[in-house]
Amino acid sequence: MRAPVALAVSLACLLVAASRIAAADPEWSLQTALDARDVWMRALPPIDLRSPYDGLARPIPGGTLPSAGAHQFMAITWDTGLTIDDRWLIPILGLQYGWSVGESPDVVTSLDGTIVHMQTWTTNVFTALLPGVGVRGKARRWMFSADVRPVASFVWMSAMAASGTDTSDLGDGHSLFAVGLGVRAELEACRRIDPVQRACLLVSPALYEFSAMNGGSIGLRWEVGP
Amino acid sequence: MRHGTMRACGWLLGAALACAGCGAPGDTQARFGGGGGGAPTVAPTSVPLRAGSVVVEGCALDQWQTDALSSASMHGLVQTVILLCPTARSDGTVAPVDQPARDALAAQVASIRSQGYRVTLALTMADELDHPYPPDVMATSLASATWRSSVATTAAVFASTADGLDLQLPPPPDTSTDDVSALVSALSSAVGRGSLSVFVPPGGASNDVAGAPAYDLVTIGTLVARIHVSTLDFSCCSGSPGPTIDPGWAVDAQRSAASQTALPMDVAVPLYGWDFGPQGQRAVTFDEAVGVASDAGATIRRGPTGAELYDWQDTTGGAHETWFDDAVSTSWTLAAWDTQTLPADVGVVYWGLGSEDPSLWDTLAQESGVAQGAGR
Repeated sequence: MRAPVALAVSLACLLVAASRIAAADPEWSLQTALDARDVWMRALPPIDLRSPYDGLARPIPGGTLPSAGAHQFMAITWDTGLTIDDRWLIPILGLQYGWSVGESPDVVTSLDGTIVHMQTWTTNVFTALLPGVGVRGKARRWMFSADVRPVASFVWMSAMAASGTDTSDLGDGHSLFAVGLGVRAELEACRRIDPVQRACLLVSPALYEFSAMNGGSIGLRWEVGP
Repeated sequence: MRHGTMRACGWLLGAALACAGCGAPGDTQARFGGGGGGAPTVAPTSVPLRAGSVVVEGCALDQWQTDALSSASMHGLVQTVILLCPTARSDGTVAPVDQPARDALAAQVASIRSQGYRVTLALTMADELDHPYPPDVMATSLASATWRSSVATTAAVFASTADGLDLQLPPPPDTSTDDVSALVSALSSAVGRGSLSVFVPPGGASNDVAGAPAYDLVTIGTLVARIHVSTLDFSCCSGSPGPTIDPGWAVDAQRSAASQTALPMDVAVPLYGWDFGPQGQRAVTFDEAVGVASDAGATIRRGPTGAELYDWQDTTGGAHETWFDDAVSTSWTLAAWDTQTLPADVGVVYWGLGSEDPSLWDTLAQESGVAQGAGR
């Protein structure tokens, strides 16, 4: 429920900003960025088995695996956006892929009585960063920016179901995943390398991603654009 | 500009690649049905508290069993003690037959009851050496109305000293369905339906156990007060080593039984393990399994469902594989039976008091949220 509300608020902000900008005679420019970041999720989302699994002697009808707790990812992100009048930011689209890093537990749970081992070290997350709104300011070679934008996240992992001496990966059927809409903020401090390139320190709290204030990320970003 | 671009690019990719593939398995933790959050260290396991019974394989308790029953943990988990006694013979007698032994059994029952437990006696069938009869002998006995009447009459005498009677037959021949129902009917008449329960082998599940076809649960359901589904020996008779119980299999067995009768029922949890060797299978206690592993220098590992196992060689070079449960694996099994999977009114029968991991009862008491305390 919170995610759609947050998404609506973001879109409303975007529309208000766009209408104010459109009233003037703006100068538009495109920028793109690539970053590497460390992502910390305070709680992995519950993972749904969305269709029955029959890879074992005993079929599993589907269900939800509980949250496996906090998790650490390394992620790379490609992003694009517009700047308007060298002040307003309209992030357009970004794609982020993250993979599990560090030591992660084998979380034992069950589905319909079948023991399931959630192999949290195999967790992956793909996030689409959707259009948002932000602002930036410059001071000599430094630039600071902040924006807020909706995101759509897709999380998956391997989970081995056990029957007797056999195990089978519930993820093999491609129906074991969590998907959700959310909102995140992005705060950047950048130093200009040359007239169109910047190296930035990025901090991005997850305002709502599967749950409220669900961690965030910190990373280094390379931006190209005026 | 070109240098700056390459430098920035290398910086980012280097950081990313440095951590590529860093994901690695860590410690196992158990987290059933609850939310996450917090550091991935140890999460408490939650075991639903169910009506509990414990089976003692014999007519009398040894000191180990007596101590276990006196613990606060056991009192929190178990309400009924089932003594696997008396034993029907093929001639229609029911052992023990001598009066001093019967008096000792009655005294044992009274002693357990004085600790606050309900005590029932489980009528079984075996020869004087405690071996099961051959199928044809068993079938002949079951088919005899005289035999059934004699056994029921004597069993009622035993039942009068306890809180009820259970029927725990070795696997009957598949053709004895009507005769098994007739025996249950005779016992029900003799002791009263409300005092009679019956152990039935799992049927309708992915790994049926021998004897299941001999039990007509629709008929039996009208004659007894409770059914214990003997979800034991999952890997018993297939020849392939494996765990003694699979929690999903037990769920299927309970659902199969529940589809035939609305009676209250239990599922069984084995406290013993099995050694699979060249001469066949042999039941082992937790302490024996751990001791043999230590003597043989074997490394104990945990199987997919949580049961422990190890490989070892005996003095003749025979290869063995031993599977057994400990407090952890048993709590995994019980936790997998959340109340949405297995209804809250389904009880648990712990089979083989004295064979268990000594830490079992305190562990289960803690995870069930009941009092725990001194035992063995």
